[in-house]
Amino acid sequence: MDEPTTRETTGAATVADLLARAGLVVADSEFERFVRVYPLLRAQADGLYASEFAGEDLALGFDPSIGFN
Amino acid sequence: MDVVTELAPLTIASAAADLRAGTITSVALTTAMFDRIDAADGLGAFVCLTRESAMHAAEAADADFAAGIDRGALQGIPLAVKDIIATADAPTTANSRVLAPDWGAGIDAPVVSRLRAAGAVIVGKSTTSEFACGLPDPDKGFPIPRNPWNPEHSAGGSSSGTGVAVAAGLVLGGLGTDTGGSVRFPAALNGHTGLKVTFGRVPKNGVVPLGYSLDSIGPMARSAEDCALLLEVMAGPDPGDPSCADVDVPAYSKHLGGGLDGVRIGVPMPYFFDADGLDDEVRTAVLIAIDVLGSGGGVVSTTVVEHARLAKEANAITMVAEAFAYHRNDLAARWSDYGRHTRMTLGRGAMFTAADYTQAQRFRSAFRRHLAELFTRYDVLVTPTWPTPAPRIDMMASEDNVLGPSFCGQWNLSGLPAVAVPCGFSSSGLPLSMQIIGKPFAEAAVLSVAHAYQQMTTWHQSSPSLTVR
Repeated sequence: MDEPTTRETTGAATVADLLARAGLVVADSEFERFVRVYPLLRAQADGLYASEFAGEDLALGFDPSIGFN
Repeated sequence: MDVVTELAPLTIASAAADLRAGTITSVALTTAMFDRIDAADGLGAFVCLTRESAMHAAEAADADFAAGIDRGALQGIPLAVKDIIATADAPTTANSRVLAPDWGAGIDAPVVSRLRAAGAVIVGKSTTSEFACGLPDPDKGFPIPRNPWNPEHSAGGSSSGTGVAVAAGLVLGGLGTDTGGSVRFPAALNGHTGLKVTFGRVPKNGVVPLGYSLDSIGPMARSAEDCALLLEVMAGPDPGDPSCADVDVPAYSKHLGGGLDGVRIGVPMPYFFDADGLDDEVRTAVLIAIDVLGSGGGVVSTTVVEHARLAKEANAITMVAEAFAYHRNDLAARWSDYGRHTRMTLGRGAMFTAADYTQAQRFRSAFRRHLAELFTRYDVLVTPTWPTPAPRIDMMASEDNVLGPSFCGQWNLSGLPAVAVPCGFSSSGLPLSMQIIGKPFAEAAVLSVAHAYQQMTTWHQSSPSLTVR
């Protein structure tokens, strides 16, 4: 197996990819705003992966009986 | 400038007493409210008015009074309903060019049905931030809500119209919804009381969703007592909302006289009182309010809400992820039909991964457990509601809620009840607000503390001069 490799990308390329995957077509000025805020959004999400939360279950529940008689 | 000086009764409680004493009729009260609404049109509180059905409801309320029929404190009381909540007598627009024009047509949401059954008079649909998020976009043709204390300043959001209408005395109360602060933010900026209820306390079917696991419908009114009177009609399960809790509904207004003796009040200093962006005047006003609670018998001590900033961020991720699921197809097909701020807010949902959303729900478990432990030592927590007084409308950006602190989203994430209570004014004459948070389904406790504070202070009675061009 090949060795895992970190592939560099720019924030703009990432944002462009995310928007394209979602089918969103935005103005250039809006794209620039997404690019500016993306590192902060990414840091906020990454902050939730702290090791102290590694043992947690989901807060949201699922009831398989809903809709059955 | 015309000045409308004749002010109708300020509170639901006082109007209810006047109606029963026969010193006013619902028709006269409702007519006075419509006169004030017309005079204050520049405040942008309403998307549409339901004059005909409101006057019929007022006449019915008066007829019931004459026949000795009393449906409770809301009988004959003029109220506003946020324009993302379905009402049978008016379209629901969510202040958007995107929502299907027939959305909710011809039906009342259960919460509206309950208000009508209690004899309330719905005067119209109040403005909202588009789809309950973002900021107003003047290009989309909906009224721009303005702060009645200074129209150059924001009325907050997203339940802006109800907030403006309550503060300016255009109605005596109304409905807002709250996913990350949307009842409490306008209550804070406009200077009245607003309750974010426990998740599941009030059925939310018949409401355009924003964050499915966060949304709640809450009462907005001048006082805690009025919020109690509204909530005891609004609350309780409905089969159409599977997330609504089958929990007994107390007579909230009967639980307000308990006072503050021995009430354990926690003051979480880190983040809530030292975050970058917290205005000094807000901080000082809330600390003074806490001193008042202590002087009234409350047992005040400082504490720590762990991970408060992360909780705000987990709430924001959850909200935009759930909202993006609802809006994705429309955003892809009709991006420009959304308001300029709304689409930037909703579009952030595309920036997160499925794992990010899942991790936010795992964090949510940890945060909830921490709060459950904290609330073994406290009956309520007290924080500022919003970090600043109302900002100028032209100074607001859709990124503000990403960059700045928030003291509201934590309680949506954890589902806890929290009430915004006026506690002073800035040097520029804008309202300031504290927030009282309680245990799940402990609305009676938070309203009781708020009511006790309002018995010792008069901030909630302050009313802006209704001046119009």
